[in-house]
Amino acid sequence: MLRLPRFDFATPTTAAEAAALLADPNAMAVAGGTDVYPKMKRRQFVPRTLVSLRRVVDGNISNGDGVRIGAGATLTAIAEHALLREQYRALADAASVISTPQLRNMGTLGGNLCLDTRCNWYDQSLFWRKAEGYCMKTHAEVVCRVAPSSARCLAVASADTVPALIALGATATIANVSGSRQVDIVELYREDGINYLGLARGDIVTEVRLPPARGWRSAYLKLRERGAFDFPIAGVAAAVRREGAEVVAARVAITALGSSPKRVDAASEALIGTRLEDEAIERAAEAVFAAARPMDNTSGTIAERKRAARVLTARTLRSLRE
Amino acid sequence: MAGNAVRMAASELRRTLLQIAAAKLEVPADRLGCAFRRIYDTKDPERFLSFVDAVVAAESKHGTLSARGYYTPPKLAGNYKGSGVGPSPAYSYSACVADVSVDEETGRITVNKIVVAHDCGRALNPVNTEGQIEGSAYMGMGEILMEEQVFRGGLHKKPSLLDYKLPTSKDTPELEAILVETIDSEGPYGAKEAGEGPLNPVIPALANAVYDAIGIRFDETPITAAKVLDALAKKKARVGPDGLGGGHDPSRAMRRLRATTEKREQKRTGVS
Repeated sequence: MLRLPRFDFATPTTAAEAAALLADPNAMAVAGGTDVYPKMKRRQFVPRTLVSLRRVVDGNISNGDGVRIGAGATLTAIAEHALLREQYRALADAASVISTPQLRNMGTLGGNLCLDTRCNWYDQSLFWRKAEGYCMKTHAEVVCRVAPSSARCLAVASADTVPALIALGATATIANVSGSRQVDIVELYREDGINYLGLARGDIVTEVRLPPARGWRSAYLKLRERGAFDFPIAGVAAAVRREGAEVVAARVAITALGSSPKRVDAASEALIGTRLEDEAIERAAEAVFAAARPMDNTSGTIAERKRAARVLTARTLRSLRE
Repeated sequence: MAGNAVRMAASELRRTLLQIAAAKLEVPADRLGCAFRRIYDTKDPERFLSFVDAVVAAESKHGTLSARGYYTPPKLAGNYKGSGVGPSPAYSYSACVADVSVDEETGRITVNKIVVAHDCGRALNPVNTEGQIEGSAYMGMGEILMEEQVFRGGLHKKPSLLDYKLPTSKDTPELEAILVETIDSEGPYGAKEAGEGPLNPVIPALANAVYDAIGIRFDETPITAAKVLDALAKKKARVGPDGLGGGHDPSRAMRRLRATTEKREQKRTGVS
């Protein structure tokens, strides 16, 4: 049985307090903890202090000019929210296919946004990783075990809500000791398995804002081995805005096909001005296929996942025809 | 077979308890019945000794209660290859029908329904036995679609239950169990087994269903999406290890098996 290491647990009540605590390199933030605790049990990281964000970020979902979702909103709340299901379908669907009901009840949107990148060399027990000689993500002197000549870590972006949020044009509000700023979700990520988040020490994601949905329809499809539990091995989100039958705006985003989620602008370009005919969808799917860069570090094969990039894109776009 | 040994041991204990109850209730032992955790006078059921009290009284008299049972199967009618290893007097039989759908764009196999009929001899506890059959169907499905021992650089590539896939309730279809009771002459109360026997036909049934769906024979497990996509792309008729199946004449294999068995038998009986 794997046990947690000893740690201190802090429960700040303000963002400033939390940010100050998080300035310590041995501190880590925790919200639902559905990824933090298992990783601590496997000794993938061993923070001295866990800083709970439960009293710092809220989980409210409110609509006004668009929708505002507190970073503490659980995945269940998002999956079941009537307005999100109706007008921001990709996000509700993405939240609903994450893991299992129990973990969705605890897991938060903020946590999913900041989800650690994954690799089947990295997400294993200490016993196994020690026997294998570790990897670049935890030991800088070790090469990347997936591709030994790679200059960077190739761990995979694995959050389902992120491509949906990118396709929906969402922004995140980030607070730290100096104040807060708003960034497009897609700007948060880096194509690097170790430094995958463009957040500084002490930054906290407090909320996500979705622009007004009028005219937009969206969808998200996830590829994984089983019908529950598993992280994506490919994920595609698409959103289109139509005037009549014509597409006037579109966004397509992918995850689990590289170390960062990506917005595939070439796919959008293939769709704008079309009526989502088969040929247009095929061109968009081709663009996504080209942008997909799966490595051999998840379940499934590279060929299967690369192929899924095209298939899932075609299917999400076809579902948006009506 | 173990069931018969258990039955014998249990019968001995039952006799012990009935003797105790007969003495306490002042009723001849052959007039006693056992039900609802009581040993009672069948002529006057309200006159009873509870099971617990009977055990306590028996332990006071005899000390720790234990009994032994054993069972020897009857002599086999003939010589079979490997017969020394499995001298069972009876065998269970199972049949399975499976319905699947294959998504040719992703290679994913969806199992729509599995029906397993299992000749268990007698279902001593029908609900439990159905549960065993359903569990076997689930296990067979998991084996052929997901379970895979892969080693990479000397270590298991899938060392956790997140990596080593077993079906979830979302992957499991309706499972139907059909009990076939042939009341075997050698089995305890006619029972045979319902442990892992029902598992056996499920794996080939699913493989055959995949063949029916896409025309590709899979002679190895698991049948993964990647293998399906690869076979479809390369228009393979069969996926499996070399040297087995794939056009080899099955009657040739049978002739070789018969020849080996005869040779062993001749050696055993000293005939040459």
